[in-house]
Amino acid sequence: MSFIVFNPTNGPSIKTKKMAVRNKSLNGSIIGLIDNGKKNSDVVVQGVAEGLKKKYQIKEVIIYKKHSFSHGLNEDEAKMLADKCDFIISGVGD
Amino acid sequence: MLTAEKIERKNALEAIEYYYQKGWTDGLPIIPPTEERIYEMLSSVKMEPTTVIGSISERGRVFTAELVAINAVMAGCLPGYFPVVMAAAQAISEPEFGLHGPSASTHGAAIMVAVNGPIAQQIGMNDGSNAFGPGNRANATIGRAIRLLLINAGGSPEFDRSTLGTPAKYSFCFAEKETDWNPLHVQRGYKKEESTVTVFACEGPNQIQNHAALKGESILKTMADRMSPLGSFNIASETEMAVVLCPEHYHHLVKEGWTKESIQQFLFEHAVKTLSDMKKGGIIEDPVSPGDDKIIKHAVPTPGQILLMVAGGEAGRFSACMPGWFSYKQSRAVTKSINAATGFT
Repeated sequence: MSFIVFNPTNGPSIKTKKMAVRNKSLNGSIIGLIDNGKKNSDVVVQGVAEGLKKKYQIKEVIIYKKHSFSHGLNEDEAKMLADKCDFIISGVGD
Repeated sequence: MLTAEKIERKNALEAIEYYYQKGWTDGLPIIPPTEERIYEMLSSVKMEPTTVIGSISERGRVFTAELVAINAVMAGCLPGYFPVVMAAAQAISEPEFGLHGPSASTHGAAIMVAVNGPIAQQIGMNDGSNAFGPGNRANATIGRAIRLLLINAGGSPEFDRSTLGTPAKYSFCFAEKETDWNPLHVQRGYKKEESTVTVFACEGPNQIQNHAALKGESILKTMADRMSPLGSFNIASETEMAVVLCPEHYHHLVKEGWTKESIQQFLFEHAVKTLSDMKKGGIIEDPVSPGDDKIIKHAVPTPGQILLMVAGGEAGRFSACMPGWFSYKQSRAVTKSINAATGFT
């Protein structure tokens, strides 16, 4: 005798993610830093920028503030940053 | 045909325990989702199991009709409740609701589900005594179905970072009482005879008592005070708010000629803090300057951003307000026609 029920869960629709290839040096690179707009996120992002500049010969740091901390970048914003930057740090936690 | 993984246990009790072990509950026992019960849900909205009804794009999560039905069975819903659950699931998936934010935030918002129109009476929802409390199957299980959907299909175990949460996260669903005033869904552009569901990311109910007032304006001043605490997002940010008037307050106000619209205007004007209040209360750590008592912060940006309803038992002068989550620019209340969302008539 058996009793059949169904799994109520649903995993992410994107099953696998992998790290982006690191095929460039930070030296001479343009770095994008995304400020999520939450309180003190700008301070953290500025600190990261200064730390990176001290450690590496960074060509330029672009700080971009998202319009909403709870939404991702839209396609146009993501493309604009991808076109300009060699590396992007996109996460600030609290 | 259902696509979810089949699970075989010896009996229903073993299935309930298995769901506990897997973390597929809100901490309370579930009704085992059998094929027959899942199809009873789906047939009430005439939807195919694989129909995609919503998603949380930031998490790559997709809600299918089947998943909503499985979780509604688990919550204890009857098939007649399912059109409300389905419309609510679609409403929280609308971009303006911004589901990822309030369901991940340390704030720990609940999702209020307010039902208007004929379906509320048809399925026996409670708009009276204990409207926010326990005891009514429709109220309890419709709200619970939305929470279980988030836990099981929305990624809450990974993403929900509530510092304290709220008991309203188990379930927060009620119907607005029919009165002489325009119901919420009519104020939001729907016909009175339409059945709708309105979802709103907010705190649990903050009760507002005023048993002493002989003037309606005094009742509303007390309400405005409760609607403007320094520790809410409504003062710190720009946020909507739900307000539920109890019948005694309603009868008092309607007798004096107040309408929903005039009450919204009054509450908008009086639910305020000054910059001076904010500095003295520590929400802004700057010294008070001359003129700060003239700079006003409203609890809601406009009168229409107060979701004003009537509900509750006939006795007692206890109304309530539900301050909203962070900002209306990131999460707004959404109203859906149940008929349009599900085909249910």
